[in-house]
Amino acid sequence: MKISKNVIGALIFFIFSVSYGYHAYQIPLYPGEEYDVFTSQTMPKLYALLGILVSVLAIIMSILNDSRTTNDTEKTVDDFDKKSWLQVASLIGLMVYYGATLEQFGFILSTISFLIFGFLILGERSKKRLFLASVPVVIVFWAIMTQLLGIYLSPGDLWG
Amino acid sequence: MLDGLIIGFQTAMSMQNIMFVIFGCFVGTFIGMLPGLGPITAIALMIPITYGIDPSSGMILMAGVYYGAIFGGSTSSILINAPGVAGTVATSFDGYPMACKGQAGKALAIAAYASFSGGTIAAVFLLVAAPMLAKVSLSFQSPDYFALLLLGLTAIAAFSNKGSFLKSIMMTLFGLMLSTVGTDQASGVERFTFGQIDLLDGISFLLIAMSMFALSEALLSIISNNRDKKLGIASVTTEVGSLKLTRAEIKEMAPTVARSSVLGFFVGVLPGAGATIASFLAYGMERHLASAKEKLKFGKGSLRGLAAPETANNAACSGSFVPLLTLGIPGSGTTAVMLGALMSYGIEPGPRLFVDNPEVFWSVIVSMYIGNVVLLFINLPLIPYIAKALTLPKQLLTVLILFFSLIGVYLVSFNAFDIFMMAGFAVIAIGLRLLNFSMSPLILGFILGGMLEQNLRRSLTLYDGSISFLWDRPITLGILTLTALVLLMPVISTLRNGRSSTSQEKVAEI
Repeated sequence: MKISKNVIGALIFFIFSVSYGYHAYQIPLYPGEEYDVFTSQTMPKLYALLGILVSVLAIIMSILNDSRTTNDTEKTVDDFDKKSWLQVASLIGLMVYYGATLEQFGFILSTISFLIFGFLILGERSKKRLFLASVPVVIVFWAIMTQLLGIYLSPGDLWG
Repeated sequence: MLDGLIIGFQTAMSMQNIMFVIFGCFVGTFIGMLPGLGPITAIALMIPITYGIDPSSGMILMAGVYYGAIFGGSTSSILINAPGVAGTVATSFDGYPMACKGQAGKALAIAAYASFSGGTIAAVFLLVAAPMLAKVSLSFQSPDYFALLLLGLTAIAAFSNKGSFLKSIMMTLFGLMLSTVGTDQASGVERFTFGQIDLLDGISFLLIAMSMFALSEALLSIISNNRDKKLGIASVTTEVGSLKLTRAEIKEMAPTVARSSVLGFFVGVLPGAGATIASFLAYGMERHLASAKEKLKFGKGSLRGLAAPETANNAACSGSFVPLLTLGIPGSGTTAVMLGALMSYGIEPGPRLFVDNPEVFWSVIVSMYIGNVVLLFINLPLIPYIAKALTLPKQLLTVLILFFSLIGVYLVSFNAFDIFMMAGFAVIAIGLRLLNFSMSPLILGFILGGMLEQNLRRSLTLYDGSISFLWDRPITLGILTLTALVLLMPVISTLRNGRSSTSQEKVAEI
């Protein structure tokens, strides 16, 4: 049986709401606060309850509709090719790399490498373009931020 | 009103603010033109810049970007049949066929004139309606606000695509849930921080806006670009031809523009409706009113078919500022982002804005006129050159957008943890988009979450813990009844037919 996107989405939201609701009950309260009408837990508990109700309703509705209709018009994830997905995943990895190196290597080095790797991931091979779209952009941006606007950008903990 | 207008003109007509409008319109046009990137992304990218300037200039800049992005979206709809913005999907129905016939210039000119007329007429309505509504809403109390916030949150879901009602509700709830992360402002208790110091202040609105819109849209554009390349579509036309219109053509479109302006403005005022619904309604209305002979031209390059959605979407943009400026409730995802920006400037949106910050209130209204003039007299003649943006290497643009999004958030917090969170939220947003969830309700829920909790808490305190505040005041009861009606309409419709329409799903994806 093929599960539709609607059911998958609602199921994920159901699990999320249950988990959110569990953590809502863990929110600490001050002594005696449990007798108050409104506490820090009130809204999270309400959202969790509504989330569970809506997602269950969405699952039921989707199953009922799916049994009545075919999903031939629905786009599937298979529409997208492997290469594109690999590029997207690599860019997300590159963002994590950027976050990890920004303060270690410093803004200039970290950003230049982020841009060059990013362009390479997306298939840019021209050395001229790789250079022109990274080094001057970063230097100009750095100059505007630090020299013109007086904003501090990390020079890099490793070299400091 | 006259005093306000003078304040507005004084603020908006300063050299600095005129430059901001021009800059905003250009940047908005450029970003809006890139398929997959909409006004929310364009505005989100501008927010870090606006932190360094005064709030009224920031709002003026963002209003310019908003107009520019809608206009830019029309340009890509007409030239490559790839609407950058959902509000310009209807523009492509007749705009692209005109471009195929070698009338791209004429189509762009119609889009610009229609946008100018729609925007200007709606700005006049805004000028009259906003202060009136603001005065009425000055009498609002916490229970009324609570009811209004509920209306705003449910309306965006109710006006979502057919079959996506429950999905929109889920996204609104997800946004509300995210808004509870951090220290509870009333009690000082930590919620959902999991011991992370970086989460004590909650998740920043800018971080959510950037990752859910700019990052995920840029990353998903890689997939759509590769798919388009494979299918061999989206050949770019940068030769636009003549921009001139004949007197007969203008005469033919004049009633359409007038009708669509009124319709667009009022649809825009409704919380949650916005430019997309306005453009489709205007297109439908015009087609319905057309003679049998004229009807046949729709979808094949009808001038009225192009003018109607273009007028309506710009009029709706102005209309959506009414609930934002007067009640502090955004009428669309884009104005929700603007509301978040206003709040981060330390400005309390709502009826007090009109009294406490008249320069912000009035300068935004006045800047809309200026924005329309800029779009018509500066952007339109430059369209053949701006259209060259469509031929820029996408691989360079995408990575640069990623960089500006990441650094934009980092420069506000100077915390590398935010970059990791952005990567995480971008992954979540991509997943949600692939499952056909819309991001606008999420951002609305996230922004309004704090206000909703605050007003419910205040209302309960005012009424000694009793929920009688829900029906005690006629205004509250009236708004809640309206909310129930808005909520019930799609529920009945969903229960009746439930299935989603393919064309509308396409709009949701954009």
